[in-house]
Amino acid sequence: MAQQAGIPKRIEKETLKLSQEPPPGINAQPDSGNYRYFKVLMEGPEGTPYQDGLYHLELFLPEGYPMEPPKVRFLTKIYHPNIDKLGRICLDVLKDKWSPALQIRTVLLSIQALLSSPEPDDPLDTSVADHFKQNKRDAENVAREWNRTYACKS
Amino acid sequence: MGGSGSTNRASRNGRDQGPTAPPQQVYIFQNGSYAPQGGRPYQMNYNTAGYYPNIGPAIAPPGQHMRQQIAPAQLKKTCVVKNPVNLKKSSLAMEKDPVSANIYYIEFDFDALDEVEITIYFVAKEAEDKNTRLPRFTCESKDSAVSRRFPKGMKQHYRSSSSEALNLLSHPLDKLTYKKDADTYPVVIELHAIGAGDFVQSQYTYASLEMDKASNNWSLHTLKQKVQYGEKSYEVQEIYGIEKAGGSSESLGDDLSSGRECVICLSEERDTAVLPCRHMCLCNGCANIMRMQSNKCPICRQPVSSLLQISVQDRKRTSPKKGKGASSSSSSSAAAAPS
Repeated sequence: MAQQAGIPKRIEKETLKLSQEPPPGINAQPDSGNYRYFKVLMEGPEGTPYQDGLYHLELFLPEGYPMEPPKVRFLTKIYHPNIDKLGRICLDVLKDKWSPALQIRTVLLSIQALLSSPEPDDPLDTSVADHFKQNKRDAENVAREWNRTYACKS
Repeated sequence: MGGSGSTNRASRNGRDQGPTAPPQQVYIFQNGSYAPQGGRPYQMNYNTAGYYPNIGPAIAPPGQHMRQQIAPAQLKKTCVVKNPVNLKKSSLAMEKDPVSANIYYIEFDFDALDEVEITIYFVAKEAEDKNTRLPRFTCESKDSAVSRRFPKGMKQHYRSSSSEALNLLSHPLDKLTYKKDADTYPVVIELHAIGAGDFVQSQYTYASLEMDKASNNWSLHTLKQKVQYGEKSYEVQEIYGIEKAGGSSESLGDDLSSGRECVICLSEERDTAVLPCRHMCLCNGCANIMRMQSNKCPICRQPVSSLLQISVQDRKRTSPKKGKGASSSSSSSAAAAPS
């Protein structure tokens, strides 16, 4: 499509910058066979139950990107009120608050920030969210447990 | 280099408006390189429905955020008019006399493509002259307006002489700080271009005094700027991001974060501003794509009423200066809303 000629260039630029100046604690590499598919590694933020964990995510740039948001999903299991069993993420910038001025980098930073500040009032998995709301300490212990089991493989 | 544009907000271009419709949008550049053609506003060819015939809401990918059909934002027709005088808003300041604590000198930088008469009014009331329909300022106390003529020239500096200085004791203190809906403005600076004959071209800068509590000095703050173009008056408003546009173009394309590239393709130079929020963040190609698919500004997500393309090609050709020199002097403004 001629009108999208500039867009692969944008992806190219974003990819280059992600590898040259990676955001702290985040590594995103495009798949060798598909420049729209990224494998992402994200460190759990310090001072959260996800600390010391290393999370795998996948990120896909749909045809409509950047007019459409990227699709991002956790591949590593995580106990978080805004992330469900399948790794789907409830985050406004991935949905209605998406703007083409945002980028892969800013989206991944937003996800990292979501790990630091869960939003149990806007839940994706209601049972996890209820757990966080009713007994935050207990829920964080479960999150820590899951972090050890699934995200600290080394 | 100062670029400024103006749009007539009161009248939005209808979709069915043909190319023969009268130009309702006026675009002003405060720079010599934007001379109008033959003294008449230059019409830009930027109302091109079907510019990209293949795209439209129908084939937009059905993303979650675009379920509803979006009426494409209109590209504004603009035209360029010459504004020969400009006070650089960021340079406006006031300095206290070293001896007398009540005497303040006003200073600012300005550009003039014509001989210019600068008049400063203190505590002035604005009214429209019934015959000429031009703004007229009347001061409450006598000797409150001071005028001086300057030759034409860019990057000139104005500083009040001792007879022109502001004496705080000559004016009621409460009128030196502007309050909303007050009928007087503390300071009005008029730059009137001489040489255009009967056709009036002036710029007005309205300012207010504020007490800086830390230093216990008064300082001067701009309230607004207006441009008088013949009988029409436009309020000058900034376009956010224009100061990064233009300038040197060599590095564009390789530099990953020059800050001048379109936020969508990250490749082309920004030349299109979103209205009404005035974020200049798009190149014209992406603007054409975006207006079919989204009605929100990429920067602030406010609804888009129209898009305004600002040509920066002339600037590149006529002023090969680059980097800071070319962009720091920008007053980066657009005028809107005839009063």
